[in-house]
Amino acid sequence: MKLLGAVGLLLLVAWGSGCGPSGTRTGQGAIIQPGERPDPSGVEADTWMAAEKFEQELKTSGRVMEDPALNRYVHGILCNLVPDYCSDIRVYIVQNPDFNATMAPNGALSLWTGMLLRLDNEAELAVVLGHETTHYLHRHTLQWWTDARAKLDALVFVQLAAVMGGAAAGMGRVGSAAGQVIGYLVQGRILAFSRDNERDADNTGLDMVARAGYDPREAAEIWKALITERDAGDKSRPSIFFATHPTEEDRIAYLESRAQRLVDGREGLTVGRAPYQEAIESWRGVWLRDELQRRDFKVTQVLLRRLIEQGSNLDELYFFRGELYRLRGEDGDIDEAIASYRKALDTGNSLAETHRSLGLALARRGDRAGARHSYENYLRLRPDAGDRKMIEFYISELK
Amino acid sequence: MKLRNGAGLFLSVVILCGCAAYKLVGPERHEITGVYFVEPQIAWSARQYGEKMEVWTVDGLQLEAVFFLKGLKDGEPLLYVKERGGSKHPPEFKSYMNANEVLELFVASLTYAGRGQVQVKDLRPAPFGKAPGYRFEYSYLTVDGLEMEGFALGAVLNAKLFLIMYEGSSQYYFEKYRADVEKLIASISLL
Repeated sequence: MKLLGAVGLLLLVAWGSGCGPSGTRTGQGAIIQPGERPDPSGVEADTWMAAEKFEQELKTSGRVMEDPALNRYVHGILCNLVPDYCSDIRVYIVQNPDFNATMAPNGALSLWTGMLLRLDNEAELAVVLGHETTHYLHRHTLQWWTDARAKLDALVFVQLAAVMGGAAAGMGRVGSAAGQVIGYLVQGRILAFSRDNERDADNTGLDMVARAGYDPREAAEIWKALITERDAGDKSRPSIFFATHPTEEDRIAYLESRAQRLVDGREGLTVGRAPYQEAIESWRGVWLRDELQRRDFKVTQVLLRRLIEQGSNLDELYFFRGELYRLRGEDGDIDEAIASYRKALDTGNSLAETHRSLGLALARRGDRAGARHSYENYLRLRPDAGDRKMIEFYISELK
Repeated sequence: MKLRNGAGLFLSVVILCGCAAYKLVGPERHEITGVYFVEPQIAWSARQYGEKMEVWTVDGLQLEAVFFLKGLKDGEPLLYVKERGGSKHPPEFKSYMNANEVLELFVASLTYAGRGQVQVKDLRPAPFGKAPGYRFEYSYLTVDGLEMEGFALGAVLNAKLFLIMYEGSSQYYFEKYRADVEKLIASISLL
């Protein structure tokens, strides 16, 4: 494989793996200017070319959420943060249940839906966007590439690119590509992540957030929630986000400290919980279903507990809590599932699917009459259900 | 592990299993795993992946294929993915699963394997030979964004899951052998 090919792959990998390790603003010139494009003869142009190819593939991958209202909302917050770069940065909402956000050197910013599901408010979203935007403004990917080239010999590049193959070329493969890259990062075969550059993105991002009128104190809340999930989760399945970002708890401390300095003497900063929740409301169920497909039940348990504690959309949340226990199927889970479905039904606003799932759970526990009743309720509420004939068969078997 | 582009879900098994060469399966009656016979209708190239999966194709696995899942036991995954640097836990079959729960397992497995926009529809009772079974239609996007279409026929026999899945690219290949596979599944005869 030509070295140039390997270069391209690695640049894509850097994007796919998250914010990526990066250099400081020094050594790579000034902050990128609005509308700026790289010198076609320079190294930076290579990084942009690779990113543009990846961006094109992302657009046709079928994984970018096209909801105009949601995209407008998210991009609007970005524009509040960096009005001069509003048209330079393109935000893609990628349907992927993992918690991650990535920034390409050419200004293509990807937000994964697992992140949007977990964020609580507009200020938290602004924090993420500010962090990623800093990677773009400060040309961190270019620095990453320059560092990588200096540290790795050509043989390693070729071997690495051969292993990665085409895996980094399409957005559909980002998950698996990122997993492989993380493996290399963890093994120390590429680079260690730079604490300085993550801190740069944190600090500059917080400044942007505060300047735009959002409450920067929300930054620490993101990390607290994530660390709680991480500690509950399966250690053999490290989060992509944690694999590409420093996880030290002291990060919370410095985020809190800097945020406090930024808000001292200021009033009326926006947290924006209601507009954020409204913006994602119609997608929350879809994203929770995706979340359950990960089968990382302990993490999802923590997430659902947190969302339920917030007290809204309880019908939906108790339904998914029931789904979690029913799908996991460990000792005692089926009773937990039934209890959760019943709580969802008690809200008086439950989904038809709650009745079906309750029927499945009751059938598994041997409650034939209860299962039949639940299935009948499901068909009554959803007469055109795609599985109607199957449910009718269950009912006939339970009589 | 890298999943092969455009190919079906169960190709992920390839990486783990010692793979035999292709063999020709003629149109005459053919036995599947000592449990049932089918009439293949046309000649297929067949390949075995481990003990649990046999795959037939005419034009190539990435274009169209018939997957025979041969008796999955309680606790076994539809696919098995071994990642570098740690174990992964793909969704597993449980012997208590009914048709809806097998469908959920199927969707979760496709999603786990990186397929996008997985859609299923028309879950309904359908005979698996003379045994009670179920059938559903499905579609998804491959990791390259190629749209695939398929249907599956399943049954749990002696607490083991048997599935036959036919899928192909929505453009052209799915329809190309659909009628043959419909006849194939109608010809199932339990031993």
